[in-house]
Amino acid sequence: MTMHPDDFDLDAIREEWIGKIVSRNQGRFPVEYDPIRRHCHMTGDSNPLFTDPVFAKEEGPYGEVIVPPSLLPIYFSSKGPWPKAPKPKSDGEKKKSKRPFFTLGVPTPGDRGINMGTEWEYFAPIRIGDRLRSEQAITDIFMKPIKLDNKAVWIVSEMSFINQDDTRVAVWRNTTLVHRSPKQIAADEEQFAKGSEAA
Amino acid sequence: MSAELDYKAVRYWDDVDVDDPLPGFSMPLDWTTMALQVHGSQDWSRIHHDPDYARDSGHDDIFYNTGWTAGMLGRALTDWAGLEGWVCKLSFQMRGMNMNGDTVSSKGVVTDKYVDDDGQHLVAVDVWLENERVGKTTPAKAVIRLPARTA
Repeated sequence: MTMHPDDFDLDAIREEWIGKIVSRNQGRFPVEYDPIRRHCHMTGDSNPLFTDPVFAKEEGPYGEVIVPPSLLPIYFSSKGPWPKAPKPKSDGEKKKSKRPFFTLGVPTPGDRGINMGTEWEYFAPIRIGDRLRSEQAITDIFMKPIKLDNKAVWIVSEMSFINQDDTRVAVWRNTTLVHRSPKQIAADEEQFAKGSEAA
Repeated sequence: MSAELDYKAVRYWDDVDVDDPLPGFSMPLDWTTMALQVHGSQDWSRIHHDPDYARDSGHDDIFYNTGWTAGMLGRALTDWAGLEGWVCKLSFQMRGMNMNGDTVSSKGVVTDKYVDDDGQHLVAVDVWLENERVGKTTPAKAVIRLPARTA
């Protein structure tokens, strides 16, 4: 669901959303070997600290395979991409958001997203078998035009990752821009033209 | 791909100088690497695997996702940092797109070395992805902690 840019009130959106906790998740699965191996396979990374359990235990400094710094720990601190986790009964009463996931629920004129920037800090190793949870908050929302859309909205968020010992092992700061597709821009302009004619 | 690495090697802070290059590596992108990107990241956003959807969104074609981009940068860092190096921070901006048909290189250079207030021996690094079509697509900065011979 989108809105016409004329109906987008940035000040009100910022007032409502900045500082808001938009998600708290407990990882459904422990940190596992195979997602790490697949992540490394993408880029041909054969570093045995990430891919070889025997090397990691016997020769590595951490005693176990660890998550590489490029693999976002959200993978292990959420319900997982598939299969869908069973929903608690109370979830049935909640109104399901029709916003694309990358908006984090923030209303925007567009519904197409591009990830623009990301920053991670790693404080402690994340090992096979660890159980992670996460907490994400919105930290900024602003409008900045791009070539595709002069009404693009930028959303900044911060997610903390905590292990089973309540140690904060990592933090992730992310910037996503949400823009309108060319079709939607044309439709919005047509709607604006009709409104002008009617007036 | 880079030459065979010695993953048991330790890189010491004392042996690093500003302007030292990170050798990095290169990868040609095709439909197989596209599939590995989706498989490895579990990111099923259609903009990264469905050309019609990507064009409908106003892009020239599908482009490679954030998880893959981070993996390319991360590998250049951890290959260089050695057995006992620790990547403390990594940040990057997605300024250009990497697409099928491109050969993407992940490279870097040391920009600073210092000891922080906690006595950690740290190295600041600029790292980036580039392709021959658009140049640098993903500028990044990282901080790596290394063991010190003198510690």
